[in-house]
Amino acid sequence: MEIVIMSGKGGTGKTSIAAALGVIAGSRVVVVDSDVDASNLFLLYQPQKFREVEFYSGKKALIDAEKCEYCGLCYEKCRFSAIELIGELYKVNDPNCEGCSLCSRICPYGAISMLDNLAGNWYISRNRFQQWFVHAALGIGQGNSGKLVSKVKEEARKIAQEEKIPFVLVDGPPGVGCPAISAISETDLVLIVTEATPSGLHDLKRLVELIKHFKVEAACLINKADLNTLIKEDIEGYCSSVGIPVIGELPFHPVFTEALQLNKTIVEMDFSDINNTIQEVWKTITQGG
Amino acid sequence: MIVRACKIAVVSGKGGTGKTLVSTNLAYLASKTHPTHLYDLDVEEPNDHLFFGTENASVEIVKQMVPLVQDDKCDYCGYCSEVCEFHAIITLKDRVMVFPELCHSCYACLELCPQNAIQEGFRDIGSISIITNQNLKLITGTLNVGEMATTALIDNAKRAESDSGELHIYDAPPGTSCPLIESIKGIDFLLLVGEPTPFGLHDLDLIVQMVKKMGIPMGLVINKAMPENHSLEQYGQQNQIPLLGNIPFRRDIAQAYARSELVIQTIPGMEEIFRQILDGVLVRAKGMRQ
Repeated sequence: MEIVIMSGKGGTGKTSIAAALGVIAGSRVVVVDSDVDASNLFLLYQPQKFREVEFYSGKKALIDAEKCEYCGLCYEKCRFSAIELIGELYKVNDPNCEGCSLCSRICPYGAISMLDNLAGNWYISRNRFQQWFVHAALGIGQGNSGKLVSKVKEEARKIAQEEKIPFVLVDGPPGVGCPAISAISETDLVLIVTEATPSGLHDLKRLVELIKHFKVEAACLINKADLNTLIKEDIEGYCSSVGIPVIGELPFHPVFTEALQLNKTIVEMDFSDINNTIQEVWKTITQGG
Repeated sequence: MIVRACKIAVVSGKGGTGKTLVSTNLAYLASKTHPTHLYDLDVEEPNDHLFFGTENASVEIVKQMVPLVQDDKCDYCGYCSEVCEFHAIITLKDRVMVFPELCHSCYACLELCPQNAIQEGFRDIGSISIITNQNLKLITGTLNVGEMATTALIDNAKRAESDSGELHIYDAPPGTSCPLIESIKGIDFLLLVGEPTPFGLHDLDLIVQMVKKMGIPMGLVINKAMPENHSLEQYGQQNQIPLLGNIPFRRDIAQAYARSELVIQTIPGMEEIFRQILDGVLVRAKGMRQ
């Protein structure tokens, strides 16, 4: 069973809660950090890398200055402003290039080649709780993060299958765009971590729209629930109206930040109320799993 | 004489560090002295409008090109499918199928079709709304849920109202991948919002290392600042990034945010903090007259 933790809005406590659930699940889980362009879970898990693999995705154009006759056709036809005129030379601005290959196909002098793009790395590690941990680092400014999200999920599923580990727990990316779509596709359950603020509720609604679109099961945990009790009630009302159970709430408490500063997971801080809630959440979402 | 607006991006890497808190308050304060535009470029989850309301918003739909195959001209040769790097167009024996959500609007199929059978079609990917509040314009990009064209929408939002206003503040999306790059293209100053946790520091550093190479001037605001924690101050000093302000880690600030309030209006002492940040930004941003 694969469980993905999502939030829509960033900073609601996704990673803190994913890390804690992972610790509680012990040997029954493979943990994945799929927030590949700003991954943080490794800071709490201090993994030892077992395997490191380069991740190639898409292509980038390269202009051969020897063959270029400066006709400017590539510059004119590129829809992404990825060809720049620097002095007298046409050059490719890598971050802008989407790898569509149009320039390479239309260049009358065959001066443009398309090179495979090294977009980042992914890793299989053992963390300090002796669990398998699959994570990745997307190169700065790279696109295609959705494909890397799919890749880390796929590798984790393989490990779970080979080692007969019943659960894959995925710390998801924020937002509702390309990486979020990859994170929730073909998953068994989305655990939404929201917060009792207007932004939390607003972003929750957009995430739920996406979840409904992909017809995935979901449950909701309200973090920072005491920041605004009216909004908390709005969240509960909204969740009930769309058939998503609210399975727990956590307070706005400095111990979350203190734990991060010590590179510890929240369940290692011995706050029994918070620990009990997270234990209960894990029990609820894995019932029948 | 048209004076180009000074463009400032508010970024953090990690989500939830306070980009929206800083952007909304800074823009509101700046608008008292300069015609200011606040661009909400977190188009997957835009939130700035929660602080200004959406009354009398003018809304424009953003469209993106997708291929439109003309059946009477197409001979099903399949060349369009061959040249599409994104597998967005598939040729069958007697028809061509387009998968709009995979299309990057590169025009390769349209440019290269031997029969000239492909025309420009358009589909909606999101919207841009504009509200005006005295000297402040809020421009919000919103991506339709289920769409992946995040960068295209950011690009469109940045073009809206770009010829007016003296100060443009971009509330950037989280992360460090293509949406962030799209947001910081062409800016004059980068305002980093950090929180003093290992998560906050790690994600901030990813951006700093990249932006250093681009030569864009930077300044740092510490949000959720704690008196006993100096990790971000030290980080700023090591990287020669000036510290422009500290916003303390306090429940009353989080609660004001949770009530959609601008903290400069409701919490004593916050206007002074934001005034200091604004002055620091304006002094350092290229080409900005005080």
